[in-house]
Amino acid sequence: MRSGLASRAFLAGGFVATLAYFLISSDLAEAIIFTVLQAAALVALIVGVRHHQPEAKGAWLTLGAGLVLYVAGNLVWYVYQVAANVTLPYPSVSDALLVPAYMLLLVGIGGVIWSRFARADAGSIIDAGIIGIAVGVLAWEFLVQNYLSDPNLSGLGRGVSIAYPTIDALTVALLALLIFVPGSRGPAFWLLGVGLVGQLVADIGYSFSVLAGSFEFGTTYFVGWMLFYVCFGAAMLHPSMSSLSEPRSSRRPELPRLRMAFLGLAATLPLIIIGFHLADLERGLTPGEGLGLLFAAGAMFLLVLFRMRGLLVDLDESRRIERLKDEFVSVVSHELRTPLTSIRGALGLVAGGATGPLPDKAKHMVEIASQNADRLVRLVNDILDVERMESGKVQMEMRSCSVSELFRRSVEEMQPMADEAGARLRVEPADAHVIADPDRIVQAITNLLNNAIKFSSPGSEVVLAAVSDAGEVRVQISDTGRGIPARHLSKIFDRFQQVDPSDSRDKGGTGLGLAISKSIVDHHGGRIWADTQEDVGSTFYFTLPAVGSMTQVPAREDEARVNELVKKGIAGRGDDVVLL
Amino acid sequence: MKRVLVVDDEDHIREIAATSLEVVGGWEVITASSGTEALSKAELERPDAILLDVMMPEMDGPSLLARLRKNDATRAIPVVFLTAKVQPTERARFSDLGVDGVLAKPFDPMTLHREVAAALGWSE
Repeated sequence: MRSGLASRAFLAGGFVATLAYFLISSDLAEAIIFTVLQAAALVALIVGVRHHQPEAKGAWLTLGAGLVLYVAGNLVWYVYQVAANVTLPYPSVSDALLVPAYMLLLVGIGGVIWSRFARADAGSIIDAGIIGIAVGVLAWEFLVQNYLSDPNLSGLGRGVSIAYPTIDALTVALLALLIFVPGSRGPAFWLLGVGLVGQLVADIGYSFSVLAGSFEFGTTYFVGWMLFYVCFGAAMLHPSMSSLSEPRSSRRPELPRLRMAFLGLAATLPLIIIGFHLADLERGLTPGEGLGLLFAAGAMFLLVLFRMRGLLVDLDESRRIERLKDEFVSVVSHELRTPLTSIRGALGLVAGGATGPLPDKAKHMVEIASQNADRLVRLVNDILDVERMESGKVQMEMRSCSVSELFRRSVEEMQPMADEAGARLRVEPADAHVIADPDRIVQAITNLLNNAIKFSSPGSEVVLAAVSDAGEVRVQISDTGRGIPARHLSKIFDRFQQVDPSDSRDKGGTGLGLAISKSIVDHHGGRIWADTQEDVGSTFYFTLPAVGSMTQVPAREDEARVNELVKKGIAGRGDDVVLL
Repeated sequence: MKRVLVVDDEDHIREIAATSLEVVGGWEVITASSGTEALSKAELERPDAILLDVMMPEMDGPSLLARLRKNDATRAIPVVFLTAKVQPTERARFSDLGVDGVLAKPFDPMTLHREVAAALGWSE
């Protein structure tokens, strides 16, 4: 489940079901496939929420309730229409279930998106609103007006017909919000996005077929609805689903350029519609329609102008903050390191005996000071590392590297610490190759080994292994230490999150090792997680993209020289990192 | 015995690096606290290597390196940068300048001589 296997299986099963749906011509079989797929998506939601324990439980529950109504609404329709062969009136009891189902689904997805907000972001809401309104104008022009003038529709029928495109406009606004709000973009995010787009396309197809009076069961656009259930179910089973409702703070406005493009498009829509009417003289505008559209065009234009100004200011502001932060980081790295270099150097010389022998008590005191100077150096290095990594300033030097070589380097660095702790490091044979920045991955592995050794008792074993699985390599580091209490598991990769606050004193860690490892793995497009049992031990896993062992990337000569220098340098700094 | 010129504008760091190389490494050390002083000492004393701080006022490490490389008397002396700027991009830039090694600050005074020797390919 952790590796996304269940998610892939759901996706594959869903596609097979969709294919079968269009190959089979029996209405009953189609009805059964559709209902089973819907029910499977509901089950996937329940299993996903239970297994991945996402935040914002209320929102996920609302989504679930929406799906239940969906299944019920469709089932009613199928029972009458297909099994009992009774033509339902429009609107029917099925619509009475489906309209609230849509609403609940939107509220649920809205709730999930809401929990992604680290802080109120009125700009994103306004932007999404503008785009939703633009789609609403389109729906009004092509659908709603026609529903209103359709003599075949009853009053209630009109109401229900208008409800669907209105919900679609809201869906577009939510989709825009999902894209605009900063947050993690794992496979679950993209699956949900693709699913919503499928849903939207099918809804539009449905609306037009109702308009033309040609609605037929199992037409092409049904693939959109099936895509929604397939993608939704797969998203729920993927480990990254829990990050869908996780807030991530970002000072930068997300995707300002894409937003401006969307907003520009939205602003010109009413004008395009006016042009459309002007060109088509037979369907000329009534003065009322013309005025309404002009008013909409003007209002949209002003709104968009207002937001564009805001986005430009945001862009300027974020550049200014970025620059300030750069200056700060550069000053901190120099100004803090200069006195630290003196302190650490002087203490190191005295503690190392280079300045002559010391009385036992003095030697002990100097050792304490020296160790803490080391810790301060590590802390400064780690803080700068985290900062650079999270601001995206670190460039990974990706190339093909052998996992066993990465393991060899990591173990070489950590062996002294393991010897001191009396722990045995065991490496299982691995012949896979990965695409990675070797220095950074060694840093991630040594951080994880460091933790494993730190929490191992003398005589115990720490195992380093790698498993190849469907295009990726999963690295795992297992210990038999005290384990991590379940309630801490979701926070261990955050900064300064030590399970026991006294750990940083007793174990000399900085509380940043796991956060850095996660950042490194994220930069490689991998995932990192832990399985643990209290008093039995923990296993940390992370994944990296695999390469076939045949596709070695040859390093150019000048690259090799740069890499050599980098390696020497990081190895030099490695002392700081390693001795943690 | 190796003779190394240590250049750093910070008195304390210069002293520690010098002590480390002299006492732990057993080398002979000459020091300079500015680029100008380093240029004249390098020309006069012809050390086996120069350990050079990157961030210095007036003449910084890279400019000093360029001056050393232009002078026939000092062109061949290997230079190792000692820097608090430990970014891979910085390192790549330094290596383009033709520096022979880059070491990070803070350094471990008990192993500094070994790191310098390793960067320059000296056998001990």
